[in-house]
Amino acid sequence: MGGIVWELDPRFAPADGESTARPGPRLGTLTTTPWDHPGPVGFPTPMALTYTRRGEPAHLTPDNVDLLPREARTFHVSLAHFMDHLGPDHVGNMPGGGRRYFGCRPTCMLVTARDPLTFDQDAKQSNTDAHTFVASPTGTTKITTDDYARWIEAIQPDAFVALADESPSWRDGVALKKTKQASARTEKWLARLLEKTKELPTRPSVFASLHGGADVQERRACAEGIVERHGTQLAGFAIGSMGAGETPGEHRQSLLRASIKPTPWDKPRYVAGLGAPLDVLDALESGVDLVEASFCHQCTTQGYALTFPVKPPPTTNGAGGLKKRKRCDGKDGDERHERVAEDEERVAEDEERVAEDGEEEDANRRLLTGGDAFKSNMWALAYRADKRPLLPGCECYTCERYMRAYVHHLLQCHEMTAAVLLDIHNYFHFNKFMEAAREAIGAGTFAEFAAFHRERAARMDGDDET
Amino acid sequence: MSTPTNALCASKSLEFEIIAADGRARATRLAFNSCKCFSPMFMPVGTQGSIKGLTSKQMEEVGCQMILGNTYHLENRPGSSLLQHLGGLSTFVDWNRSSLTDSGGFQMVSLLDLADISEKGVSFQSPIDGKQMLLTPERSMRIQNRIGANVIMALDDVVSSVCLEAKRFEEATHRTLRWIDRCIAAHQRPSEQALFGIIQGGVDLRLRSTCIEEMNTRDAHLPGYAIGGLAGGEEKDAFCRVVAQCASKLPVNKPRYVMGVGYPLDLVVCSALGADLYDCVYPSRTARFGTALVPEGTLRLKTAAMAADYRPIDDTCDCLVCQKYSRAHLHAKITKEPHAASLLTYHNIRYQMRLCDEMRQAIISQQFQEFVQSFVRKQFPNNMVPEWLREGLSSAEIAV
Repeated sequence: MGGIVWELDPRFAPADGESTARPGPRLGTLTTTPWDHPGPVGFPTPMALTYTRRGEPAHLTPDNVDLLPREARTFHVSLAHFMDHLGPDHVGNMPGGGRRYFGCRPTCMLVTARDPLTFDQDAKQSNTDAHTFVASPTGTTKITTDDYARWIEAIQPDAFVALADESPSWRDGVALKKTKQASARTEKWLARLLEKTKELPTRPSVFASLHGGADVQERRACAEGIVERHGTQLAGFAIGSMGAGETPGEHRQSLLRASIKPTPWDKPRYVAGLGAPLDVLDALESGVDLVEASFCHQCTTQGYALTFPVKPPPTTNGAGGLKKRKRCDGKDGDERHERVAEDEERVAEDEERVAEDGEEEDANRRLLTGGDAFKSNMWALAYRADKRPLLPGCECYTCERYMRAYVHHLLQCHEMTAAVLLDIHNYFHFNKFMEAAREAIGAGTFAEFAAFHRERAARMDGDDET
Repeated sequence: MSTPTNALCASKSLEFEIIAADGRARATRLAFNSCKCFSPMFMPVGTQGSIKGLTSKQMEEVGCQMILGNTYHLENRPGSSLLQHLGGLSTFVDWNRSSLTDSGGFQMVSLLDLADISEKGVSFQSPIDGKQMLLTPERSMRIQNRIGANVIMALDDVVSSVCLEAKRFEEATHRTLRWIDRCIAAHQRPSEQALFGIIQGGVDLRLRSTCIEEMNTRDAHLPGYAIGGLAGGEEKDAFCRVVAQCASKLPVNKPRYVMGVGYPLDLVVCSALGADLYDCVYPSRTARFGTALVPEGTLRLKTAAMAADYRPIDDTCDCLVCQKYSRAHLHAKITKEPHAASLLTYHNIRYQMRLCDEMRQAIISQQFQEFVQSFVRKQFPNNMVPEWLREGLSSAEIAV
C-alpha cells in the first residue's frame, strides 16, 4: 500500500548546474507495493498499461494474463465501466478492501474517469463547475468530484488521474474563454480531490490532468499553474485531451511539450489516447513515461493481429534475423555482405532471400487483405490454410501453439476464443515493442528506432511523399 | 474400394480395462494410441473446434481428458479436407489428449426442419449458406477419418425421443443396424480410430433390446457402444429405464457412452447404472447465461442477492475462479463482459471434472453408494428426492 514511486534513470537527469533535464525520451522505474506481494515491485518505463473493462482485461482470465510479460500486469482502469446501478459500495464492501474485489490482481492500477476508446463521446461542452460526464455502459452519466472520491476510496487503486474537464484539442472554434474555463475547473476539481483522498489509508498517488485544448500558450499556463499551486502533492502528470483528432507529429508534439515543460523532471508523465505504434513514438519523443494499450484491445476486437517488427533488423552480420537489401537510410546492404566470409555469405543470402520473400509476400498479402504496416486482418480468407503462427518468431503462447488458420477459423465461427488468442498475442507483442523502445532509449538510438518505424509505415502504406 | 476391418485392427485403436467396480458402477481405463483416459469421464463439447473462450492449456489444467468435436459443423467450417491438410483436429486446436467426433446424426434431430432422411442417408440444407449436403454412412466415415479423432461414431438414424410415431422408431432402429454395417465397411482407419456403435430405439425397451442384440453381432468391429436417442426431453423415469436396460445388456468389457448427458445428477445416476462416458454442452452453455454448477445444484449469479455476496462460487472448489473471484464480482459482469463467461465456463468444466474424479475414487475405494447418497442429499435437502431418481437408483441397488 502507499501509491507509486517513480524514479528517473540518472543518465537522463539534468546536467550539473541545470534545473531541467533535456527534453526527449527517457528511462525510469515505477515501483508499487501490491497487496498480495511481500515487498515492492518495480517496472521499467516507458511502459504501456493494459486496457481493462470493469477493472480486468476484457478477454483474459488471470492465468492467461500470467502468460504475458510482467509489465502487462499494470492496468489502466476506467471508472466509466463501473457506472451502473451497483455503485462504489459494491466494490468497497469486499472483505479486505476493494483491491481484493479484482481477481486479476494487477501489480499497479491507475484509475481514470474515462475510457480512452470512447473519449469523443465523453467529452461534452455542457460540463458545469460541479460535474462532467462519462460514457458508461448504461449511457452518459454525470460524475462529480465527490462521486470520484468515493470511487477511489472503494477501488483502492495505486494511483489515479484527477477528474478533468476534457475538451478535444482539434476542435477549432473552441473559444479561448471555454478552454480557460475548462482549465480552471479542472484545477478546482484537482484541489478538491487532493483534499478528499489524502486521508485514505491506501494513500493513492495523484496525477494531475493538464489541459489547454489546442492552444499551446494555454497548455503552458495551465501546467504552470497546477505545478505552482499543487506540485508538491502530485505524484505525476497526465496530459489530457490527446488522441482526439489533433494532427500527429509536430502539432501534437508541440501540445505535449507545452504541457510537459513546466512539470518537474522527476515526476512521471502519462498520456491516454496515443496507443497506435506511431502515436506512441510521438509520445515518447515528447518525454512521456506511461501510455495505455487500448490499441491492443481495439485490434483484437476487430480481428487484427499485430505483426510489425518491433525494432529494426540487426545491422551486424550473424546467424538468422531478417536482413533487408533495401534500406531507406541510404546504407547499402550489399556493402555489408562484402565484409562477411564467403560461406557465411552464401548461407546468409539464402536466409535473407527466404526471409525477405516471406516478409515481402506477407506484407503484400497483408495490404490486400485489409491489414496494414502494423497489423494483419485475420478474417481474411487468405489465412484459411496458413499453418504459420500469427507472427513467425513470436514467443507468445498463441504463436507457439496455434496457427493462423485456426485463429481465422475461430473468427469465422464467431468463437470467443479468437479474442483470447489475439489478446494474448497482441499484448505480448505490444509489450515487446515497448521493451525495444526502452532498449533504444538506453542505447541512445531512439531516433533511428523511430525513423525505422515511420519510414517503414510510410513505405508500406504507400505514402508517396516519402 | 473400402478395406474390410477386422477384429485385430479394431482392438488396436482402443485398449479397455475395468480397474474397479462397485455395484454396477465401473472405474475404467481407455488407452488410445496417443494417451490414456479414465472413466467415469465427461467430455466437454468443442463443436466448432473450441470450448467457448478457453484455451487448450486451460482445458488441460481443469483436468479435461477428451473433447468432442462435431462432424457436421467441422465439415462446414473449416472442412475435413482442410483439417486433414493442416494435420488433423488435434494439431489444429492444439489438443494433445484424446478426442471424439460424432457422426452428424444429432443434427438430424436438432435441425429436423432442414433434414430429409432416406435409406441412402440424410440430406441437410446448410443453415449457413443453404447448400445441399448429403450425409451417408460412407461420407460420415470419410469425414471423421480425415478429422482424425481417437473415437468416431457410427451414423445412426436418430429420432427425437419425444416423437409420437412408434413406426418411425421401428424404422430408425432397423436402419441404424443396416447403417452400422456400411460404417464398418467404409471406416478406413480402424487401427487408429475406435468406431462406436449407437443403440437406438427411443424409450421402447423391446426395440432397444433388438438393437443391442443385433449390434452385438458386429461386436468384433466395435470397440465401444453408445446409448443414443436420449437427452432430448423424454420423461426422466423412461430415461433411467433405458440406460439401466442398455447398460445391463451391453458387453461388460466395452465402454458405454451415454450421448448428450448432462446435468451433474444425470452423470451420477448413469454411472450408478453402469455407463462410463458422457458429453454435453450444458456446463459451458449454462455458464454463458450466468449459472454456476455447485454441489447443491446451480447458482444463478444474475439474481440480485448475488450483488452483495462476497463468497466464492463454491468454497470446496479448487479452480482459479473460486480462488480469486467473488460471486459479487461475477454478478456485476456476467452477460456484459465476455471475460466473465470464460470464468464461469472454466469453473463449470472444472466442476464436472472433479465430479468424475470423485466418482472414480469412490468406485475404486468401494464407497460409491455412500458417495451417491451424500451427493443426492446435498442436491435435495429435506429428503425431497424425486421419484424417478429414487427408482432409477434403486435399480442400481442404491437407496436414497
